[in-house]
Amino acid sequence: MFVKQVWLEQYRNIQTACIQPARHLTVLYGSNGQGKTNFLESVYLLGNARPFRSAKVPDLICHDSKAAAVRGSVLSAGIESDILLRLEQNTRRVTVDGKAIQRAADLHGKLAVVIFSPDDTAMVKLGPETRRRYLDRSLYASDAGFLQDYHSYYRILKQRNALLKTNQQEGLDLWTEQLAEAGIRLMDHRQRYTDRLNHLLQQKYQQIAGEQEKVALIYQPDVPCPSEENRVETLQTVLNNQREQDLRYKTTGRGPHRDDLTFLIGGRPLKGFGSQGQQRSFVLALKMAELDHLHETFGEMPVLLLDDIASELDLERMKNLLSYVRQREVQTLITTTDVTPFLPVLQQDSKLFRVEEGRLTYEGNGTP
Amino acid sequence: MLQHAPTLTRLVGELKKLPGIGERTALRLAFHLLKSPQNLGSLAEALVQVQERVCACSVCFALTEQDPCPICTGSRDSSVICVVETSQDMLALERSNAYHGSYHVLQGAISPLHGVNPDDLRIKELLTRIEQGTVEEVVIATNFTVEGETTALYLARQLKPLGVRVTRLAHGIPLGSDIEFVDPATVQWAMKGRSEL
Ligand SMILES: Nc1ncnc2c1ncn2[C@@H]1O[C@H](COP(=O)(O)OP(=O)(O)O)[C@@H](O)[C@H]1O
Ligand SMILES: [Mg+2]
Ligand SMILES: [Zn+2]
Repeated sequence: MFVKQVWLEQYRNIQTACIQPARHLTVLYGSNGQGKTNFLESVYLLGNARPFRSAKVPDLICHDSKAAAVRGSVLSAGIESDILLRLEQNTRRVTVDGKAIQRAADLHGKLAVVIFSPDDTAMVKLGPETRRRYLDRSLYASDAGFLQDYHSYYRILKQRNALLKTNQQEGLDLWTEQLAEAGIRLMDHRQRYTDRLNHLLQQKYQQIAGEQEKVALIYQPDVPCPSEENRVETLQTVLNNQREQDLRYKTTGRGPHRDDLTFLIGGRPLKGFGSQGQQRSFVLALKMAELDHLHETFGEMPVLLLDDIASELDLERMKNLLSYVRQREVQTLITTTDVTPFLPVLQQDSKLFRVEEGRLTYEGNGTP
Repeated sequence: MLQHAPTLTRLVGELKKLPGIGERTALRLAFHLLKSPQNLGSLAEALVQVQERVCACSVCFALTEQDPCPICTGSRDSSVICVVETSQDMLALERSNAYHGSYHVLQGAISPLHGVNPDDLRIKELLTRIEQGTVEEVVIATNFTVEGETTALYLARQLKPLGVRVTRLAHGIPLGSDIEFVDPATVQWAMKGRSEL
């Protein structure tokens, strides 16, 4: 998959831009606060119809403007699609080749995107909800069917919590049963996906970090439900035992909405025992595993967005990464404040853009 | 200008309460009606008549002008009851021409978020109908949403002890569609509910 053209109108601080990224490597450079991340965010939006940073639609529209548009020509499975997102007040309308699409799932598979940004490394240290959000989002990228099960679970949870707030006991069993069933479906998705990523992770970590340290990604369900038992029943029993407490606190205390991921290095938690460099390498390796998984799913490589990568990786690791993505024919877009470290890796077919106050200026391929 | 015509203001206000109608559309509709007094008169008449004559059937709770409704009193198969959330859902089933039994309109689905409990739905009345002994099958046709599914589960729990057959409408691939373009969740459901050929 790759992006042939991106066209922006009144998007964040970018008033207008029309960019044709290179097939392989595109580098966007400029000082802080100029609009580099904003641009990457718009590419992400083309593939997902929702931003990777937790932002609401009005945040995406240029302050002085009423509406914004993001449009892209993307190529997947040899077919070119024209994706258009119109953002207005709180609404987000998406059309593909001029036809309006109703559900986010209809956009699925047109443009898969993997993004690595400084925020991602922070997920090692932050609370479980950050890792859970990462898990669900990246899971969705490869499995559109997940969305339905995800929404069902959280809708049932909302209903059950609403019931708990009214202090009514009647009907609680019913919602508990529904929650357990949807919960197991959600957990199955998460377990399968985590296992798959974990399987790919070790090799990726070695390539990036250049060290033999053993790493692992473990799914940490709040309520473990071993497969040799009746899993729905197991979860239901835990939820039922929790009943008194739930009624007291007026919220559902246990269940997959409390799940987490554990990152291990040398058999110990990465958070406490991994160096800053190891933590970065781990998360980047995870992203590379995602890349491979999406490749398995769609039969082609997704687009890779690397935000502020130089602040995250040293020169050696960066070179390893860039030669890896070139060899795998991954379209890669990089942002950086300092262009110097990238000058040696730019090639004839690369493209360099300067970003200044929301304006993107093409500066050739950056080679002497 | 509107402040000099309070009745017009009121009309615009009433129109705005309708779903999908904002201030501008309400104004446009109001002016349009004023332009043709004939239309205005017949609309007013229709509104009054609807209010006077349409009520819920005391048996199945469908909208009707005669109570019990023609479906409840006619020659339909009364050994089967199809349970729907709203009269609109019933209309959709009638249009399909695939069903010849009677109906029961719940008037919604269980949803604590909206303060709707089983007691707020016409469930007791459904159970009473079944206790009379002539019903053999109940087809549950609530929506395939979290609320509709939960209501279906609740009904099944209540109905089975009464010895009736309880069935659920099947869901799957829309007719005339290419599997390639059907969303994966629907395909997954269709696979689960596959049937013998
Ligand atoms: N809706 C918006 N309208 C106008 N400017 C915005 C909007 N949202 C963010 N910005 C501006 O964008 C800039 C940040 O851009 P960003 O892409 O994050 O910078 P960087 O180049 O450092 O990655 C800030 O100056 C911010 O004020
Ligand atoms: Mg930035
Ligand atoms: Zn009737």
